[in-house]
Amino acid sequence: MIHQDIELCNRLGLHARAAGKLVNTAGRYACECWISWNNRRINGKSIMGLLTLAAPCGATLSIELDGADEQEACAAITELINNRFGEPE
Amino acid sequence: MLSLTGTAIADGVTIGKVHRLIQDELSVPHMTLTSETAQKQEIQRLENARQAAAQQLDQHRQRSDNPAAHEVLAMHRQMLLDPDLLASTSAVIQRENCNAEWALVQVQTHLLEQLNAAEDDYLRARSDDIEHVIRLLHEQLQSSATNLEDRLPTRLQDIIVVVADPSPAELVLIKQRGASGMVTERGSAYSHTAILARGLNLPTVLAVPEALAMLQEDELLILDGHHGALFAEPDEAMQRHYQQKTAAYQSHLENQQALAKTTCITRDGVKIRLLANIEQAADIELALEAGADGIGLLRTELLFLQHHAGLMDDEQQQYECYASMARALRRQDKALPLTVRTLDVGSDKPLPQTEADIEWPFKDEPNPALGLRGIRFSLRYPQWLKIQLRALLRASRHGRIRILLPMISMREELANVRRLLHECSMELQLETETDLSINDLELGAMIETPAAALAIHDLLPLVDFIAIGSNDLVQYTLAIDRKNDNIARWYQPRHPAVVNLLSSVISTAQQQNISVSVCGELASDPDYVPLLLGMGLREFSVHPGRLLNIKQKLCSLNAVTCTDEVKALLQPTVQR
Repeated sequence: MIHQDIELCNRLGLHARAAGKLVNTAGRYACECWISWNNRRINGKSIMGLLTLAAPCGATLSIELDGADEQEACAAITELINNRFGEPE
Repeated sequence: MLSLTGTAIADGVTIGKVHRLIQDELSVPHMTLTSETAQKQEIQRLENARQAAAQQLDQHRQRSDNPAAHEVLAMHRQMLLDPDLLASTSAVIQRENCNAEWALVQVQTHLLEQLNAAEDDYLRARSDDIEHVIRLLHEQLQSSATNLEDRLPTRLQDIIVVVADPSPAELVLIKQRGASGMVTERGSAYSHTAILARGLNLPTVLAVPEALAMLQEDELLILDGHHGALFAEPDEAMQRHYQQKTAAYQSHLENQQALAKTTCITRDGVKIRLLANIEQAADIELALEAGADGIGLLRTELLFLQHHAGLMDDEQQQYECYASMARALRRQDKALPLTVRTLDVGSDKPLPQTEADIEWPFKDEPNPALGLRGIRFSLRYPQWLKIQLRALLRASRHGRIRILLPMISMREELANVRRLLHECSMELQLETETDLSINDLELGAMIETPAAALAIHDLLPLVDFIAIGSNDLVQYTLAIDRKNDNIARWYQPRHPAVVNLLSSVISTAQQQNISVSVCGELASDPDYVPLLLGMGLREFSVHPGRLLNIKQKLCSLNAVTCTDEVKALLQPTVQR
């Protein structure tokens, strides 16, 4: 199991489009993905969960991954978030 | 006459007859299930509704060719098929032995409670999305519910649809049937319905309380999207006023859309490249919407000042920034150019925040316009130039990057930057073991000092392109500070000295096949566009907001006539 903290650095935070991309990325891997912020823990493969988390820019998400491909999933999710979900700054 | 107001979300004025679209009242029965088999059947019913609703969204999506509509509907589909939504609703069905509708209401309440705690307005507005998606499920579950497609008249020309709270899917249908406008009772300016109404150019006033009760079917309604105002049963004077406004808005919209798509060609068939001057990534979208052929100038010092304290020191952040912009400019068949001007500080441009602890020598310069600025600063403190060059070299793999050097006045400056660039590429190749060659990007000089303009022959062999910074070039040539009110009226770009200098730079570069653009304010001013065209300029770099304006001007001109006019300007006056 891996535990990784990542700060959201895109301007709008975990908005609809970004949440969709995160779900798509997490969904590509078999491992379980849990994301916690502000005392809530949700399934990283659920867009409803991510949207209701409503994490703004600057929030530090705590990500837990558990499964055979957890390393790859962690790298992909970290890259996505650090690339601001592909959004311009 | 009755006047109502709501939230203004987009420009656009329209007049039409009211059609009140009553959405089906959802009845949510509460039933108790008696067996485990009944539970399983109920979960299956939910699953069927989910699949049917997803199919319906796909149909809506296929009908629209608008990319924004596609994106929003795809997102709703994703929400609809969310595994947790199914799991949590099924769990309620099993736990409480209740029907799917009843379970959905509880799940929705729970989701909205969580979201309402959010502090961010934009993120909180996603509750609209959740309500719309769950409503889709209810409609499928409710056998008596009628399909919106059947209820909505097939032709909505000259009709303004008044509706409580349309989902993006419903909005797409309303627009597609030709409605001239829309009024809603609920919805926030950040909702996807609002965003989409803007994207689809549908004049809309949002969140008008009790609109369905206040407005009568078939009555005449004026919708002023710009002010968020509605006027029902307007008097004649009001109607005449708004008919003019509506016609003007329509023709403006059509002209702008048509213009953005056309290539920029003068009346006598000379093709012009139109580039955009930008200051931040968000401007790229504006530029592309206006039909720009690329970015002719990205001012990085403003990027550094606005966006990120310490960005000047941070190669990785800069790289990501340039790379994402370069990617945004990639088209299927080619990459549009991203011209990045290296740090241009000094004179009127302040220094961005940096971690360095240096006593800046230009603080007390007596004559900053002639002081340590532009490339002079960068070569004095090459550490920052190197960070920027390395970031740009790395970003060049993501698109077409052109590096533009400000305030060049002599050959040595260009040679020094070339050397630094070479050094950076060698370092990067060693560090990353990837092949990053300086041949992957283009290097150019701003021509903004008379020295550079007069010695252009000397500079051209060292550059791939040049960009004329007309603001400084005119100011230095005429020795006029255009911000000084005492003399500002003598700032005259038609002065023979300026015309001579600009013409000779443009023609010399063209003779040597070096691309040349003007990125100063002259190029963004319709009054001077004929002058520049007449000098032979074929590349204009302008503010994105002015792009269509300049394009319109260029398309109305005759290049040959303009050339003759410039020749006449250059004729010496013989009379004394």
